[in-house]
Order: sequence, then structure tokens, then C-alpha cells
Amino acid sequence: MIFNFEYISAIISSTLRMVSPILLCSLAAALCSKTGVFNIAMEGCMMISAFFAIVVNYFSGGSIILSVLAAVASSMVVSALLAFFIIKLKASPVVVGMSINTASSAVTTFFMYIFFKTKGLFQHPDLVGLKKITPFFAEAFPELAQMFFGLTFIDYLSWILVIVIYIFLYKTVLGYRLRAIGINQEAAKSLGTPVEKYQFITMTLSGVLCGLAGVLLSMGSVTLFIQNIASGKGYIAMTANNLGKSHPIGVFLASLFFGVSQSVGSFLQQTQLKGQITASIPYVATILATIFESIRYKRLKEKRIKESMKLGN
Amino acid sequence: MEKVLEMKNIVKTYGRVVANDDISIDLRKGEILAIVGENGAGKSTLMKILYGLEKADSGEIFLHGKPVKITSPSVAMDLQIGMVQQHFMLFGPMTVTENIVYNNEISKYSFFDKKKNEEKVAELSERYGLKVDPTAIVDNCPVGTQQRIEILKTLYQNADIIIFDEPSAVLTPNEVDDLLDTMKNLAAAGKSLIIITHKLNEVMYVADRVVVLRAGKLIDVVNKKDTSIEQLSYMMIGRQVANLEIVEHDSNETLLKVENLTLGSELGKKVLDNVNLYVNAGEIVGIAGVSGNGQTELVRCISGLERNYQGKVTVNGSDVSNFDVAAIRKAGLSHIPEDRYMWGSAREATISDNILMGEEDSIRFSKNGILKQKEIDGYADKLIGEYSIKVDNNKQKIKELSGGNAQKVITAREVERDCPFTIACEPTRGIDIGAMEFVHERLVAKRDKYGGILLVTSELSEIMKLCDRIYVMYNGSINYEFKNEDIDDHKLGVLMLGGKVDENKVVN
Amino acid sequence: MKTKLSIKNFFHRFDDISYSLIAVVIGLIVGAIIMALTGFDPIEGIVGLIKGGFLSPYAIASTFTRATPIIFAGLSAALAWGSGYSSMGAQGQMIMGAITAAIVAPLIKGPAILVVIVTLLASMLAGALYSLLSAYISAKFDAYLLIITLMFNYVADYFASYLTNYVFLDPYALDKLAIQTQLIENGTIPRIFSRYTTHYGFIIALLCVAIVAFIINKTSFGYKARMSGLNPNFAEYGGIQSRKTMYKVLLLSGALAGLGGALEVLGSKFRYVDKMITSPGYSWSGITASLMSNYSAVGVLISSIFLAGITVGGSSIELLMSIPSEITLIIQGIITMLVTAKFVIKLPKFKKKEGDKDDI
Repeated sequence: MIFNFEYISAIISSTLRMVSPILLCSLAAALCSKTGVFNIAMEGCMMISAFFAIVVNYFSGGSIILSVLAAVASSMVVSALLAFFIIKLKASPVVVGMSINTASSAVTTFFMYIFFKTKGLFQHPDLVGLKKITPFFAEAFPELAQMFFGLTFIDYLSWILVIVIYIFLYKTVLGYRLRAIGINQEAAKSLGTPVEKYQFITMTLSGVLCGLAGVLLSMGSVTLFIQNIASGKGYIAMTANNLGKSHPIGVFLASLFFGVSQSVGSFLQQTQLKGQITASIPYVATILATIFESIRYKRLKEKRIKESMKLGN
Repeated sequence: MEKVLEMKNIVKTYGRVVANDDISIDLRKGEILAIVGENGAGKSTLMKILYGLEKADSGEIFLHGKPVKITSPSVAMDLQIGMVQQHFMLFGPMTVTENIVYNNEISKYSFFDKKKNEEKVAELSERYGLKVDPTAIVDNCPVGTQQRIEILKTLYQNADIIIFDEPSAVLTPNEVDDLLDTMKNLAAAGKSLIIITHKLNEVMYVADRVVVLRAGKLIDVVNKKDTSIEQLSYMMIGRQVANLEIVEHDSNETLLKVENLTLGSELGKKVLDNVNLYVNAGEIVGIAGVSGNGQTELVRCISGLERNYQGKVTVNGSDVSNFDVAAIRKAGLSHIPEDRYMWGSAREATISDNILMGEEDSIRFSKNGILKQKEIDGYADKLIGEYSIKVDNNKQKIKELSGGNAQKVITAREVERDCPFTIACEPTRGIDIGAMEFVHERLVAKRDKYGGILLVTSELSEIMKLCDRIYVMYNGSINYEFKNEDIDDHKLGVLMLGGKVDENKVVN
Repeated sequence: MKTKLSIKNFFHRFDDISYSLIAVVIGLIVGAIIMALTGFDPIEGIVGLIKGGFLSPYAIASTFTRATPIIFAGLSAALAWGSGYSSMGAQGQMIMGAITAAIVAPLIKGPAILVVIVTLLASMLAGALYSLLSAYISAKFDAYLLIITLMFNYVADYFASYLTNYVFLDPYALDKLAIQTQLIENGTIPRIFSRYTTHYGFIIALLCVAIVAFIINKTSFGYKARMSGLNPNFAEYGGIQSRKTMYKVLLLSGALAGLGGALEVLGSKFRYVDKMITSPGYSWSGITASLMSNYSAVGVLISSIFLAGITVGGSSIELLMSIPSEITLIIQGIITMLVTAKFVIKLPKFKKKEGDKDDI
């Protein structure tokens, strides 16, 4: 392996690109769990939105705005459906979420055939990808800027959203009410809050974030749609949300970790390690991260109980 | 004095149980009205109707002389009625201020104005002498403070009428004193208060008038200064003398022995503190106490559901300290749990399946790991017959049975189990009188067959009726033991509230 | 509000089976609507779906072949989910079983029947151990079994793919594009009728349905598992050791999935082909089947045959009418969503029945 500046800068650059979809989805999951609903359908929402971004991209002659709008709208529809089943019909969030994830793969393939008469992969020269933004400091620090080439406005937006969501949840009245619902639904209800309405709206809006993530998948680094394009990123985002304790900053750090593991995985492909081994790195990393976090948490809890027992005696 | 509130002819039934039977009360400005009665007397139902949590079948509510319809807690809040619930409705990880101002926040451009809200809470806390730190995290506050937060919440919502539901149930004695003083202050400041309780010493200390309910009926409304603890508890319980014949046994065979049992908790409080007790063959021993004084934990330790305790537990002669549930059951224990649906049964499973629980590996019902279904169904049918459980067949699911019949299934399973010792927790909670008497008969029958029963219940009348001996539990320890002859309901009532007995005289 | 109530009352009158039937009907109707919207003849499509899956000896045979792995995944899921453990791991365990079979079978010399038995046992062990590992991590580290098993599915898929690509790749395969292991010559499972693809694996599946039904309903272990699933508190109170039950259940569930994977190799493909378990979505179909039948083994059999049938029918309408076969997966997704919504709609019923309030 070569450890020189270019190499590291390339890893960083690729990490930054890998992070955003996971980050956006784990922010969506965080918003939902802060409001007391369990959302595991990010995988499906991402797939659907990635697909409709490409469809509209193709038929509108490469309109970025329309593509993004279509992606976000389709993801919101799916999220609203999910919310309806979970919140109104009180269906099992796990089963409904998994149904949406698996059905999304079928829906996209089905319509890929309807629209493009192909299954599996769709790529076309008329498709227009998101514009890569040249960093404003590109001339002053070309080396540093290298790492930021290849990033689109959605990547930057995802970082800004971390801050925005943090401020929303912890500084605004509405955010504080949502968190209160997540902490104690009964109490919020007893104080006259329309809990289900808030949850429904939050879940539907979380679809916007997954929609943006979907756009990144099909119009970011590459411009194409391939079956199962989300490839488990939605599940990894779910774990990132757990590890980050649903706090925007924590979720950001966890996503960063998974972004690194993905980018390291894809970089190691160029070495003698085989593709299948490197491709499984993010998933193994997810399991390991879960284990380490649990050990840490257990130690903390044991310590607390021990201390309080001492106080008790 | 001006009547701020009147509830007239309130009737509320749950199935066949009449929870409120034509009850009328009124509340005057600046007074503290106590509503007393045993569990199941209908106090909570009445207050839930007032706060919009339940809907009355019939009856009217007048506020300042005007009729009102209270359909939800929000409506109650708008009408300036507040309630301090027994189970606090708090957002634990949030600050005191955030909890109090919820839904009526002071905001600046939709941002939560931390400083102004905190100032307002501090000012409110100052005005009513309810000391809280506006910036503290609620989870870190002691229970007494959490209750103050609940009170401040109602005050922040401008409540004029405040209902306290069993407010002292969760407090330590010092915290109770603070609470009672706070209530007096609030009344002096012109608020009208209602307190639901069955702790009579508190009533005598704080109330102006007392409403006594028993079995859903209004027994009397009395002025505090014209009554006494003795009179109130007489009215509450009624003179129901045990009418079951008791067969005397002279036995010293000990079925349960608990020695120096101590259990700590995460909150740094001892939930059980050096508990010692025993149950002999041929006796029913009661644990009396206000719920939440350690009874649940005691039963969890004895039955093996909680294993991290210190001390020794002996069941049927064998030391089962820190054993698991299966091993203790094997040693000779059966157990009617406190909550019939949460612990006592699987609603989606059949009666046969529910009756099998705990015996699935016994020689009687299985061989080489294969269930003897005929034997099981036959036994289920036998119990259904003996306990006259109203069902179509043993394949019916528990969820299709009424509460009383479900309780009978559980009671049948545990009482008829081939073992000498049974723990019975709230065995008759929420079931009709017929089923209740039946369960009582069965417990007595088991005792007469030389079994031992530990009866844990918050129904005083049940304890008075069935028990040969009574331990009184308060704050995690046993603070008195009544032997056969000297069981005295007045004394018992006082002891349950943490009072002490001094040379046959009761002091608080 | 009003419509919701009437839906509630409507569904109250049906028991579990009719509920699943309603879900199926709604699923098919939505499928028909999608066909209509995308320019296909919905009636012809749905009829074709059923005809292609069920209405000829050839169709039935193909359906049974397709149903075989789904039945195993379904039994595996019925055991796990019915005992309260939401494991998504059948997929990974089937892969482990399948790749093990593809590796072990060629190694064993001897009569075919011996090869089959040893191979199946090895695959069951592989599936069981893989399941046990996820169970252990979940129990020991308080991690969601759901996430752990999902991640394990990806790892298993890549692992098998790696072995196929680099260790056991058949360099002489006729199809140069397919990534596959060496063809198994000795120790394959024969067809029942030589004209049809259905192999004896289907008989083994039927046998397993009977065995699992027996275990769930007639043994004390099954009793413990069922009670843990219905009310874990009740099970704990009654002295059932939850950790032990969990390991046993998931071990068995993994063994069944492993067996299913092995039979797919020995009976249908005669080698491991990359993604052969993942792409057809056997595992998810199995979970759907177990949810549709409320975790009953016989119900899994019927539901699996139904799901396999519409899948086979889906391939046939794709050939005949160019309707993409994914339509059946969409229908399946709708059925699954509807099937779980029932838990809810039934809930208010308990509250009314209870009648007696605890804290009056």
C-alpha cells in the first residue's frame, strides 16, 4: 500500500462522497426515533427516489430540479404510506418497513422495464448528473480542494442539515415538542398534543431526507440506476442512528465512521484483497461497532448501579 | 362559601361493575376536599371523569354554577382544572422548565426562549413556595421534586381546581410533610383542591371536608373537625367480619421462611430492607400495605424473578436463595401473579396452554419432551368444571374470557398445583363479587388442606377476612406483625401509613 | 375516524385465515390496478398469473419446485418469529447451507445416498451455527437481532461469492459468464417424475412441515417457544429460561434454513451459483408465508405454495404478455403489509372484553 498524500486525499474525498447518503438517511431515522416512531424503511425510500430521479431526468431531458423534486416527492409518498400503516393502523414497524424495502426493489425493477425496457441496469448518455461544485478555495489551496472535488450541492446540504436539524430539535419550540413526544408519548397526549399528527408529519418529512440520499445514489458519483442501488445503506444508516443515539451530531460521527469503512472497502479493492472481502467490510464494521458500543454502554450502566447501591447502603 | 364545582348524580359502570353509583359532590373555593375509600371504591373513576379521562354514563358537572362537558384533559385544562397524577407524566431527560412550560412556551421567532421560560418558572416556584431548580434534569430530581414539578405544571396552566391522585403513595415521610404543607399554602392562596387518598392521617392533617366512598357508593360527606380516623376507617371498610370458618392447625412446619432479605435499586434506595417473615403450613398470612411499599419486589425475590438480593429464602424446607423461577417452583411454590394479563397468562393462547404453564416438563404432562395432550386437556376440563369457569371448551383463548374467568383460570392453575405453598397477589383485583368469593373459598380450602398461603393485596377487607396472621409492610420493611386474635382494622390502617404502635395505643 | 371504525368492525368478524385471504385478494387487486395503469390487461394478467402457477401439471410441478426453499425459509421464520425473535437471517443461513453443500458433496466418496445424507447434515450444521452466532451476538450485546441478521446476510452472500469466485470456481463451466462451483455428479437429489423439475426435496419439505408442526404443537420445547412468543413475561414467570429457549429456537431455525439451501443445490442447481439464494428472495417469501399463516407450520406450507405459484405465474406472464415478473413481488409486499396491520385492528377488541378496570 502506498501512503502518500494523494492516496490519503483520495480516500478522504471518497469518504466524503460515501458519507452523505448514509448521513441523510440516518438523520431521517433520528428524526423519526426522536418523535417515537421506528423507521427502518430508509432503504426502500432511497431506492424509490433514486429511481424516480433517473426516470424524470430521462424524460425531462436532464432537468436537475425536476429530478430532485420527483425523487423527494416519491420518497415522501412512500414514507407517508409507511406512517399510515405504523401510526394509524398500528402495524408492526419491522414488518411494514421490511415489506417496503423489498417491495421497493420490485417496484423499481418493474417500472424500469415499463419505462426503459430493461431490467438490472439503466444508463443513458442523455442522463445529466448533479453538478460537481468546485470549492471556493480551489485556487488558494489546490491540494486541499482536491478532496472536495466531486461533491455536489446535496453533499454540502447534508452537512448543513446536521446543524439545521440540531438547531431545530434542540432550540425551537416545535423541535422540543417533538422530542417530548419521543420521550413520553402518554405525557404529551395528556397535555393535549396531537401526538399521532406530529408523528405522521415527521415521518413523511423524513422522506425528504431519504429522497435526497436517493438522488445522490443515482445522480451523484455516477449517473445510472441499478437494481438494489441502495445495497444495505439504509440498514447501515439505521445502525448509525442507533450508535449516534439519534442525536444529529452523534449520527454525523457514526455516519462518518461508516463512510470511512465503505471508502476503505472500495479502496482496498485495488489491492490484492478480493472484492467480496472488501465489499463486506461495511457490514462487518456495522456488527463490530454495535458490539463495541454495547460493551461500552454495559460498563457504564454497571458502574452507575454499583455507585447507587453504595449510596443506598 | 362559594361552590366552584359540583358533580351531580355521576354514574359510571364497567361491564357489570358499578364504579360510581349516583355520586354527587361539591367543592368550595379555597378548601381541601379529601375523597377516601378503599381500592375499587370508585375514587379514581370519579376524578378521571372530572378530568376528562373517562366519560360518565350519566350525571352532570357544574363549574361556577354553569354546566360543562369535559370530554378530554385539554378541555379540563381550558376550564382551569389540573390534575397531579399518581404516575407522573414527565419528560425525564428534559429540564424542569421544559416540563412545566410544555405547550405554553414563551418563544422568540419560534425559538425556545430558554432564559425567559426559566425566569417564569423560577418566579412561579417562588410565588407558591414550591422549590425547584428550573435548569435541573427531571430524571435527576428526587420523587418529591418531581411531584412539585407536576404541581407547578398545573399552576402554570392557571388551574384553579387541582386534583391530587394518591399524591403521597410514592413519597418518603418527609416529602409527604412538605406536600401537605404545600397543599395548605395553595388552598390559602385561593386554589380549591381535591385529594384522593386512603391514608387517613393525611386526611386529618390537611382536609377541610371528607367524602367517603365504598364500593362505588357515596357513604357520607363529613367535616374534618367532626370526625376521627376511627370513624372514617369504619365508614371506609364497613364492618365485615370474616364469615369463613377457620379450621385451627397447630403446626410449626414452615413452608416459607424469608431471612434478612435486602434489595437495592438503581435509584440508590433500598426497596427491601432486612425483611424477615415466615408462613407455616395451615395458615394464610397477609402482607398489608399501601401499594409501592416493596410488596411487588418481595414477591419477585421469593418467586425467583429477581435474583440480585441479599438474604436467605427457604421454600418447603429447601434453601432457594437466588435460585431461578423453575427451580423454586420445583421446590414447592405456586404463584398467582399481580397482573393477570401482563404476567399471569398469554391472551392469545388457549386455556389448556395457560393451565399447562410451569408443568410442561412434569412427568404427568409430558414424556421424553412430548406433551400428553389428552392428559392436559382432561386436567383443564377438570379445573374448568371445578372452578365453574364460563367457557365453551378448553381450546378457547384467554382473550375471549371475561376478567373474572381469566383470573379463575390462573387461580385454578396455581392453587390446584401439587405443592404446599402459594403466593397470591391481588387474587381478586377487578373481578365481580361472585368470582371473588369463589377465589376466597379456594384459598381457604387450600389452607385447610394443610397448605400455606402468602396473600399480598391492597384490599384491606380481603386481608381482614382471610388471614390468620398479617405483616404490615411500609417503606420496604415489615413494621408490624398481627397474630390471630389481635387483628384490629383501625390499628392496621394506621400502621400501613407508617404509624407506630405503642402499648396498644396508636400514634402517628 | 368514522371509516376507520367501520374497517375495524368489518375485520373483527374474521379469524386469522380469512384475514390472510382478504390480504391476498387486496394484494391481487392492487396488482391488477398496477397492470392496468401500465397498459396491460389486468384480467388477463391475473388469470395468467394463476393459470401459470397452478392450472397445469407442469405449472404445479414448477410451483412445488419453487416452493421447496420457501417452505424451509418459512418454517425457519415461523419458529423464530413465533417465539418472538424477529430474525431476518434465513437468507444468510440458506446461503451458508447452499455453499456448504456445494463444497462438501464433491469431497465425499461413496454411494449417492450417503453423500446426500452427509451433505445435508453438514449444511444444516452450517446454517445452525451461523444462526447461533447471530443469536449469541444479539443476546450477549443487547443488539437488535434484526440488524445483526441483516448484516450477516450481506456477509454470507459476499463470503459465498468469494469462495465461488476464487476457491471453488469451475473453470470448465459451459456458461463462461456464470460464476459457479463445480457440478456435483455424485449425490444429487433425483426428480420425483422425470418430466417435471420437482425433486425429492419437496417431499423432505413436507416431512419437515410435519416435524415442525409436531415440535411446535406437541412438545414441551415447542410449548416453551410458543409461550415466549405470545407473552415473554408469562414465560419468565412460569419458569421458562428465555436465553436457553432463544438459542434452541434459533439453532433449529438456522438448521432448517441451511437444509433448504442445501436442497436447492442438490436438487435444482447441482452447484452453487453466485446469488442463487439472494436474487429469488426465498428468505423474504418465507417470512411472508410465516406471517400470513400466523406462524403455523401447515399454514407456511399452504402460503409458500401460493407465493411460489404466483411467482411461477409471474414468470409465465412475463413470457406471454411481457408483464415484468416483479409484479408478484409487489403483490407479495402488499400482502405482507396488510397481514401485520391486523394485530392492531384487533387490539381494541381486547380492551372492550376486559370490561373490568383494575383501578376503579
